[in-house]
Amino acid sequence: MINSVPPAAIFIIGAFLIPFLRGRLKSAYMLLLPVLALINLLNMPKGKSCIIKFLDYNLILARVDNLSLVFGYIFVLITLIAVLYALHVKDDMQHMTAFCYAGGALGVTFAGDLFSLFVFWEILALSSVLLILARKKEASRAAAFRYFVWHFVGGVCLLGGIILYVQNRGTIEFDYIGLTDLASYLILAGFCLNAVVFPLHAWLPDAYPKATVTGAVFMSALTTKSAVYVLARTFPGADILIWAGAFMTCFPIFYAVIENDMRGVLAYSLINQVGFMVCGIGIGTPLAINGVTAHAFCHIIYKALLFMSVGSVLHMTGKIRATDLGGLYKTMPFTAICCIIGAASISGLPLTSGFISKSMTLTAVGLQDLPIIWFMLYFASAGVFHHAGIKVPYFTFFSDDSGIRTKEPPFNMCLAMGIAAFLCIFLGVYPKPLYDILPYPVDYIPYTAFHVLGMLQLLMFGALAFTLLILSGYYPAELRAVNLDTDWFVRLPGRAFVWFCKKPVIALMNFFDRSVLKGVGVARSLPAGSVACEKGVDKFYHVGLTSAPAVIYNWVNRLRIEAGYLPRNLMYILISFFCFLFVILLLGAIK
Amino acid sequence: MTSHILLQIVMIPAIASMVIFLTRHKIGEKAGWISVISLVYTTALICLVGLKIYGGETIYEKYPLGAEVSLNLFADGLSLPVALIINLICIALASYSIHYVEHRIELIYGEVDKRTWRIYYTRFFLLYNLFSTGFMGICFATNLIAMYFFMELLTVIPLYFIMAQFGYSDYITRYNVALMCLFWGVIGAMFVLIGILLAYTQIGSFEIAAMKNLAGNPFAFWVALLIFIGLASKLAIVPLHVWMPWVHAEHPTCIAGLLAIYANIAVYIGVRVLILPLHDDIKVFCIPIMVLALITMIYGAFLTLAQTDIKRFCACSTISQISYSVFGIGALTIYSIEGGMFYFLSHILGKAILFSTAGIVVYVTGIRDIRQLGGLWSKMPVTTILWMSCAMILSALPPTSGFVGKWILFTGAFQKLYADPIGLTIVIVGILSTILTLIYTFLTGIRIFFGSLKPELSSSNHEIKDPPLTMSLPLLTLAAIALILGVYPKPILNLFHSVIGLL
Repeated sequence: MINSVPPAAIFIIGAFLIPFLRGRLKSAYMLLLPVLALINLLNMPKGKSCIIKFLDYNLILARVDNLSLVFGYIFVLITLIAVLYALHVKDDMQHMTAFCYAGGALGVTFAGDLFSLFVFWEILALSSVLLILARKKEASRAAAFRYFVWHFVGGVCLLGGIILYVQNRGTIEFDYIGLTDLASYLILAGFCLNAVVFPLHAWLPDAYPKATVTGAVFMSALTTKSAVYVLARTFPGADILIWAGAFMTCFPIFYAVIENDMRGVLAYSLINQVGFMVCGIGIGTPLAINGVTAHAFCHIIYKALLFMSVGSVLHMTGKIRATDLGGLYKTMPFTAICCIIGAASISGLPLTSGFISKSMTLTAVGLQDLPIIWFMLYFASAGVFHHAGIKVPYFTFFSDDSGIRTKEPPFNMCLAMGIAAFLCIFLGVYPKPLYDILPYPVDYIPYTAFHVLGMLQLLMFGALAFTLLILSGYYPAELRAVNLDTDWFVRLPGRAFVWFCKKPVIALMNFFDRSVLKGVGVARSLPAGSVACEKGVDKFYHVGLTSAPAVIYNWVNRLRIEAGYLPRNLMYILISFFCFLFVILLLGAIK
Repeated sequence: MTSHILLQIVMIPAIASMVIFLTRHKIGEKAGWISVISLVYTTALICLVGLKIYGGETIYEKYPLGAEVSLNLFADGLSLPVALIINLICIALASYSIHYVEHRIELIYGEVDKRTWRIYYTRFFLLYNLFSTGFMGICFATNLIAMYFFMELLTVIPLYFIMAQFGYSDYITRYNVALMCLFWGVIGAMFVLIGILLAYTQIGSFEIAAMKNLAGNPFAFWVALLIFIGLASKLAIVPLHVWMPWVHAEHPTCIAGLLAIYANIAVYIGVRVLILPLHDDIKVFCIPIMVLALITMIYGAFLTLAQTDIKRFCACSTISQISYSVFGIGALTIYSIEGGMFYFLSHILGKAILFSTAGIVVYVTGIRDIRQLGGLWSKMPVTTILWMSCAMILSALPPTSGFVGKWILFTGAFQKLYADPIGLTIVIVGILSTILTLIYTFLTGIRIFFGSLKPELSSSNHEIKDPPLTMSLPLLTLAAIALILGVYPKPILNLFHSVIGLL
């Protein structure tokens, strides 16, 4: 029986029990949920199950194959870690939305048809908005709203695409689509928005730094990677994605270098990392898809680790800007070590998880005849080391001492970071468990002299460049201002749009009001006229009608329980009733 | 109990209102509960009818009044779901009104002696019950004259009198707006009446079933045009939308939800009177109706975005929302008509919650200006949940009923217009314009409920907290119904399909 539970259901239904529990029981329950989900995943039969009939469609809530299983495992695993990290939070709303959010991601992963895919897609967007709103700051409120609009635009593109697609092909199966017609381009646009493909990426660096400390961990793991999953399923081998992905790996580096907010830096490096995956999907060979999947798996863990360690700093000190921090290694050594492990992983240092997955993607690119792309990706690898690998730990924990003295974060946060750090190293040293669950059989060996030396050289020169720049004072200073990205193109029309609503539309409305009403000649006479009319009608009813058909009046009078004044309007009602009945009878008698 | 069941459904609310009137000094504040009980009873009857109809029967009751005019009542798969949802909303809003009307009377008339207070209080409920009679009459009437009668009944009695006596603003503006509403309603209905009479000259009957005989007749075009113009003024299609923001904004919020039904039920009349019998004759109207609906959707949404008054905000959103249903029935395919009808049900559910939640905000804070509100989440969590759920229903997000409606509606519209590039553009712009709905509902929700609490709100002398259960519980029930319809729409869609599928 346990086999037939859709994976998303455990999280989404489980979320609604959280407010009813208290204290230890609640913590235990919240940790139990991901474990239950994992057991459920392990028991799930391969193939399609949990089929529901809805409208004329068969909705498949659990389509289990190798590709979806990998993403399912990592989503459940990261939920466990992130929930552990968030255990100290008292706000039930945050926990509930976080579980709904994870449930949405699992739902997207295992959806076997486009309809349920879309439903879970929207759940994903809605619940993540609440994670941003939960921070209760004005900036978060505004960012949450922009985030939501971006996602709904994507959602509507997707919806239009899906409806057209179902219309054209007559099937609602969610499987390989391929770029052929308008419908598929609309669907691709919807997916690309969540996969932060340029120029649809501006929501991510805007919103993630403004989410709650614990919410950002969930967000870094789920939204983009579920989009990577759907892209890998529907558009493997689409050439446009190779270039989009390669570009995505390069441009965020420049933003990340001048970004001041540490979580902003991580948000840009997130785009950069997703770029590797999108590029791999564009290539679409089995090795590339394996590389993408493995990279997504490892990336989720180390990016969550980085967000957790930087989040701990924000949680303990209340500060997050590079210019405000520094020298924290003295009082937060454990957090610093975790951050360094995460940074080493994201840079792809050998013996960490980033190495075994990133080199796979790079090899897949190298096997194609695409020298420019290959060069761009290598440049990006050096760049990611530069900003995420060195900049984040260096400016947070070392650099000039900012004088901040604090403590290590609470135990549950430390434990979560410890687990994630352990996984980063473990997978780097012993990648076999990961390679075993990849969608295609793996005959790839990461630890060859070529890969190790190549990566080390790259990193060495990256480090050299950073050191030289810092020492010579050429390193670009962090800007205190907000970086404006492509969202500039959105915010400007946004403001124009608000102006448009406030001025011309209101003017048009007033014009309508004036012309239509005054044109009829009603408006001008209304103020005085209506009162006069009201009085006239009043008089007419009271003097004229109520005294003439005395029968009606007396009849009503007898029925009244107490004698007294008969409210005039009640009289109108009765009379209006009779008038209408009279009209009906009259019309009936016409013939 | 089951004899004359449809007549009972139509007449019992009216009889209850008579009872309230005759015993008003005895029952006083219990009037609200009498109204609720009578509506619960009729809803139970509707459910009974529903079971029969779901089994494949139809119910037809004959009450001839004259040679041509009758009060015959007929229930089938199209009218029943509409009647059911409308009656549920009537119950919810009656319960909501129990506290709300006390507050209105206090605001408008100040301190009055017990006897006068009872007169005012009972007056509201006896007028309120006539709404149900009117709506049920429109749903079940088979005779065009009877349908016209019920439309006028709604316009003249509850709308005019409740507006004039319990509305917002000062005495003069109230009566102004009430009169304006009356004029627009009567003029709209007059066009319908002229159309009906024109049809009568051709087919010699007022029965809706006889409208089929008009098919192929050259007069069918003119009849349809006249009726469409009449309905368009009810549906607030641009440029006949002027009355809507005024009327909806100044009404007491407890019946503003019913006003949305009053406007939107014209969609049902259109489907019943024109589209089902004259499907082939009105194909010429397809593109014009869809274009007008599209303009209204977008214009209404812009209008809504520009509002700062919370009640006018709700009113303007109605303009835009109704047009989705119109868009659906305008596309004239089976799916799009079903989608349009389903969206109609979803919209009235969502709009009843939206208006009433706005009413709660005004009731609790006494502020109507959105710019002065903010951060109410911490003080009013239930109200926040209500607003967010109705925002989800209105912007058609899964898993609410709005999404199902939108999905079916646009599937149907694509079916028709896929081959035609102009049609395709219209439909795609239609889908994209749903973004505007999302923006205005959620933007306003986030402005009112999130962020930091405004200092003038925290320092005001009356306490800000969630309203009593009689106000919030019915609305939560409506939200739950919308959720159930979104997850399990099959019964209602099957019922619609049993009638519309015959096209």
